[in-house]
Amino acid sequence: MTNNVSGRKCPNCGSALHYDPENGNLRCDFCDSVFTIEQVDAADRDQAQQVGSMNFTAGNEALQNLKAYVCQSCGAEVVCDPQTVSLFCPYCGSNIVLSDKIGGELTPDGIIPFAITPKALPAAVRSFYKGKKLLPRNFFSDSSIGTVQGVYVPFWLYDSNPSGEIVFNGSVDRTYRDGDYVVTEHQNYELYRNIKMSFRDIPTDASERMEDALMDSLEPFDFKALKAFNTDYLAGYVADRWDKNAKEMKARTDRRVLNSTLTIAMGRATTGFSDVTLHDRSRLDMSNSTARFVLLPVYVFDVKWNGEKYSFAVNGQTGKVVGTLPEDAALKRKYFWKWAAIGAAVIMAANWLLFLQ
Amino acid sequence: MRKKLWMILLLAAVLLVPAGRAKADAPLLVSPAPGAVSDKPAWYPESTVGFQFYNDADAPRVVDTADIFTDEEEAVILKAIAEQSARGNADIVVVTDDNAYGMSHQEYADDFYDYNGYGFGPGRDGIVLFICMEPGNRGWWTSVTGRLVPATGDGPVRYTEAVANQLDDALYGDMVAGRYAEGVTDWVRNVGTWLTYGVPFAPIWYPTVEEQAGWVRERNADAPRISDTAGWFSKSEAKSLEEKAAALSERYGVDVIIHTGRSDCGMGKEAYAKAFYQYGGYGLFNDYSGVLLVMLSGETGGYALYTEGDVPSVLKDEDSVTRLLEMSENDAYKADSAAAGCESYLKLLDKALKSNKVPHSTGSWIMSGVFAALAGLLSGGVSRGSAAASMKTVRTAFDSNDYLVDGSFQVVNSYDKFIDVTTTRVYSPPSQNKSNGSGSSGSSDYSGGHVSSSGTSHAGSGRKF
Repeated sequence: MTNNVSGRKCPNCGSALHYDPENGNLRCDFCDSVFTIEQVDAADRDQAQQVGSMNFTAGNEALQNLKAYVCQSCGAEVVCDPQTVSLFCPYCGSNIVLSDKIGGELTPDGIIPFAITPKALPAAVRSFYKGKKLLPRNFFSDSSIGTVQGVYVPFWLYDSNPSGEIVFNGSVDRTYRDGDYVVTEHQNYELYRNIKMSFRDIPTDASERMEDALMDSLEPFDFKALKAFNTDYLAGYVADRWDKNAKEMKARTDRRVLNSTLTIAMGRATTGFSDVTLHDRSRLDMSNSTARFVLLPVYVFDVKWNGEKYSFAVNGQTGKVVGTLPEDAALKRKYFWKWAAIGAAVIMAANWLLFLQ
Repeated sequence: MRKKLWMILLLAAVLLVPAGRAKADAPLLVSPAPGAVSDKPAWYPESTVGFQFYNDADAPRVVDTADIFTDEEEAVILKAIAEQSARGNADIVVVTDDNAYGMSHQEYADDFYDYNGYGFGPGRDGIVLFICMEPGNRGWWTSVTGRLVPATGDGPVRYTEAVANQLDDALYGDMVAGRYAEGVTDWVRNVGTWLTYGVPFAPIWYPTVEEQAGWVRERNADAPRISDTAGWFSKSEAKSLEEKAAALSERYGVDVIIHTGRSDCGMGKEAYAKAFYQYGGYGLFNDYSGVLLVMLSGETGGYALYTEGDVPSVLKDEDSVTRLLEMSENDAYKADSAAAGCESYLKLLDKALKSNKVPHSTGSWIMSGVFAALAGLLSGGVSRGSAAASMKTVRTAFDSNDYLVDGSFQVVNSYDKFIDVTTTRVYSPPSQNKSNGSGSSGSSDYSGGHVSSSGTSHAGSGRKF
């Protein structure tokens, strides 16, 4: 059983403390006391004690990897998977930070604390639903929102410095008169461009459990708010450590960087030429990049409706909501014909006023 | 002593003759001495200083230095010139040369006319056509003098841009084809018509310049309201149309006339219609109210609707008139009958006079409906697509443009390697050229007024061929 646990307790009453996104302090749920992280650090040093690994049935590798931790609030033993670094005690609801999982290379280089409180989520979601013309009418009444979970999702932040030679094809057109003839010359060129540029803080989801597209959609984050990692920010939230390493995720980031590099170089370095296309990028060096491991705040929840489950995520810093909503087929048809009729009527009226009157 | 006296008399005679003075009885059309090399043509005066102009009725009106006419052809041209210059009361001269002596065509034509005694009367009214056959410099220039110059002349016959273009257009085809004599003969006749009527291709009913000067507008109730010069209608059709036109005239107090012709005679359809209406004595009441439909065949054919006086505004609206004429034309094509088209026109005219509206064809309504339906489908599709897109906010990121560090993009080195060139040549002769800043006559170089080396005012136009 393991007990490398960081469960912050109120210096006044001993109850569990939670991180409060509204003011960046730790709040006691029982006596409503509020402390800065430094105050709690001074009063309550990490006293987690490891009580050893549990030995489950031999032969089951997955189960053997599980570890048990002792909740400092109620003493219950809690089992969790290897990626989890922060969780709630299922018995007393206290937050448990598994500090043994965030040492060495697993220590985040930074964290963006939650700035949006769970209380603000319903309004953000309502705002997200607003204006969704094809949303089924009974979606509000018949749907149920599952548990909203605040998760610190592991991300790699890449700094990338592509450089080298890109070759484009381009042309220049020249038209002039030669007696009774109009002559158009189409001159074709190969455009050799040795370029360099820098990209900073490109976030790439480092968690297998999170859908990549869902996490991409949460951008942008404001990385000016990035803070040095402190386990106290995890209080009250679930947190995962990375399970896709930086090298593994570099290919995905490189694709994004490459697309931008080619677009930017084509747009800025080939002025004066038309019909510009890519000819060769084999001498473009994408290797100069570094990555930092950070935790970014995300709320995740599911909405159940009509037997289906729809996943949503909210950027815990900006409140941006993303997800896929169901479409009502009948509404879709109605919407199409409504606008088709309006469009036709407007054009017909304009025709009549301008030409047929 | 006697020898000395003769020398004194000879010197006195030379001093008494003004320098450069050309004598009427001493034509300048002399050939240079054999073997002599001159930078001016033979007819050019030795000195132009103080040159006094003169009228030489005996000077040749065709000077074919380039030798492009046979003797027979020259005789035909001379005969035409004699007839047309007498008819138009202005000199007509043709000169050809295979050397422009470094002068422009305009300078050559102006100087040839000025220094060789051409022109009628004190203003030396007249026109000269210079045809240059110099290799690489082939072309012609027409130069007019006296009352014919638009910038200085005040007569009814002036060499305007429109006139220049019409005369040059008619000449161009023959010049390019090498039919020089034929082209020049026609040109002389066209010039005669222009001098007589003020337009180069006047229709038969057109009044002469003198008639125009004394013309007083009058209504002619007896003029035919169906004037079928082109012969498109049978007698019965013409009679039926005349009855219907008369009925409309009586009902609405507007003269209704239909005229067919073979061409607009270079006047332009609208000008032709106006001239036909006014010189034909058409129109009712003091304001000459009426509607004239002109239908012309030939290359410059087409339709024109001329209105005057108190007629509904819809008949002065360009779009409505175009629609009315197109619908009538369509009915004519459908029935393969000009009379059927005119019947349709009179029905539409009836509605226009009655309600001040020109109806639209069924085809227009159908086209409008189809267009609106397509636009509606497009609108529905775009709206639905947009609404559907808003339901899905989960998208994979494909670029990192938002993370580019400001100012970090640099082009370290660049090089453009030329590969090849593809050239397309499209035949498109220039439609407009300008000369002397005086404007253009479509495809001719044109000058509305300039001063030649002799100080004479000229106008002119020309082309290359």
